Amino acid sequence: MFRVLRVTALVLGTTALVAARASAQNNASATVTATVQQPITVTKNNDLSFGSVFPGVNKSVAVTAGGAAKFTVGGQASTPVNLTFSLPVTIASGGNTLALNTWAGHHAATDVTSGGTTFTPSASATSATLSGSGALFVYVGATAAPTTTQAAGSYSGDMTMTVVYF
Amino acid sequence: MLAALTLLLVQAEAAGQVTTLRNLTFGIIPSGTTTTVLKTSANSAQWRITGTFLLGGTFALTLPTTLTGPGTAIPIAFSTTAGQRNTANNPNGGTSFNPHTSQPVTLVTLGTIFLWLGASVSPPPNQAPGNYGATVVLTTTGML
Amino acid sequence: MTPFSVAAAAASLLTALAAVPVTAQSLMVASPAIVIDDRTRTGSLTLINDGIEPVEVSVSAFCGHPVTDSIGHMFLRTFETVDDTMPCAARWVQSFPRRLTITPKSRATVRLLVTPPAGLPPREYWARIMAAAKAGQVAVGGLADSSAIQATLSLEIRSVVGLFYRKGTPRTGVLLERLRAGVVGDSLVGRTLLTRQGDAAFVGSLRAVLRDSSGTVRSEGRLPLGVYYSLEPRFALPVAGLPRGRYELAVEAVSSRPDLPSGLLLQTVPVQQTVEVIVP
Repeated sequence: MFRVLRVTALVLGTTALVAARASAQNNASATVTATVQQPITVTKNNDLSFGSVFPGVNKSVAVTAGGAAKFTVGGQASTPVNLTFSLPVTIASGGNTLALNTWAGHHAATDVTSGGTTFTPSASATSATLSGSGALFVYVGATAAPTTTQAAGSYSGDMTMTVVYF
Repeated sequence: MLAALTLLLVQAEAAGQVTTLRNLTFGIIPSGTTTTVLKTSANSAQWRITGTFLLGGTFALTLPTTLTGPGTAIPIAFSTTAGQRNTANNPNGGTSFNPHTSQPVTLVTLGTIFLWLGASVSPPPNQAPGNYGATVVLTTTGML
Repeated sequence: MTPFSVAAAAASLLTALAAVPVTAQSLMVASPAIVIDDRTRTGSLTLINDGIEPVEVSVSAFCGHPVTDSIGHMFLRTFETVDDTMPCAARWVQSFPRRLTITPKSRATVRLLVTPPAGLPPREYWARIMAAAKAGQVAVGGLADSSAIQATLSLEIRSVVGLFYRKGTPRTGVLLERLRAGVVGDSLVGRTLLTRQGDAAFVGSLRAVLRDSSGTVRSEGRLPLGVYYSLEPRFALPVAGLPRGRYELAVEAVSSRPDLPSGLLLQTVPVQQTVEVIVP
């Protein structure tokens, strides 16, 4: 009995020692890093829509009309930007062309179609400034001028808006 | 029996070693949008645990909730599957783990486990630009 | 059939750009400026498509820098050909890839590599990077009873940002001169001439503060800008409701911009000018 008791004590003592050593912690750290920058966003919200067009009857879409093209520019608040445009004189369907002219523009710091700045979209720069919340709303309209013998068909063309940041 | 107990003592003294192999790097991120680093990405955090635990132990991650920098703190989120563990150095294998909870580890003899961690950050629009950072701590505990 | 009905029938077959709901398509450029140093000669441009349609993007470089017109509006002067006196890096910049398609709600990183000629003098060199996003063909329908007449207008959006390639340790500075201002309507409109010093563009902000006779700030504003040679920008501060009297306008050029991390910008000592203005 005496021998069993002594061995038990030895086992218990060893176990305690092992437990103390094995519960040691190891740790290591990893850093998390990120560099934040203010992005620039240009969104095309609406296409330029003329709706139905009659041969020989000009159809205009004003900047205030629901069919006007709409773009939204986003970036740092109160940042100056430039807008330039490349606009089609005609859109084509095979060998047929449909003339577009009298382009008109409006930009504002809020999403409105009047009360801002009117401009003529062109390759020349139009200066604008993003709002205090970093937004600029741009509307573009034009006139479609079909001839009296304008042929039916699918007409297509390209329109470009360039936003320059300084 | 005394010899067996001695062997037990020697093995338990070889506690796990933890090494950071890679930091979690988001790089350049735009404000106003969420950027995610996948745990399988080369930009995820990575650790290696080596050692011997007689009857197994645990590892746990202390995760930040924000990144601090020149502007207001940016929230950082870790999904419940943002962690990956594998005995091979390949995050595309192994098993997923929840980085918010302590995880068991069993390394019988001279074993190695690799861990990876991804996350998402969402700086609000007009967040002040600049460098932001935080720290993730991996802690292992050997248990008998 | 009357002429009108003939015309109506023809019109029903002819549609230009009919009203069709179009989902917004957008391209986000992660940074308004890219800095590349001579040690790595590489940089990146992160592009994000936040829309729900794929966008086709092309990346290119050209020479240009901001200038001001006669009334102080900034615009980008571009150059198709440059001589050796112009520090334009556009000829040495390659993008990888040059064209890519970015799927909806995803992002892509374009690598920019600069391979300058041997023996290039140390200084800062400039370029403009353009990301052109073609917002996909927009199919527009005609009248409900039209016989498959379609018309499309391809819309391309281009974003232009600055690139700065730095060799050695370029330094920057700015000189402020000819500050003047006057009340126009409900704004104080001012102009000042900024002239770059050193061999790197001054990229920072023009801060304007209007104080009354007691030193109290009554109006202030900030104009982000980059001075590559000289710039004489127009700025405006709101003054509606301010009492008549004499005020002090202080304009300061500082090497910080709210849209760029300070680590990207070359620092210089702020410079300031003041002028007395009268609010009538």
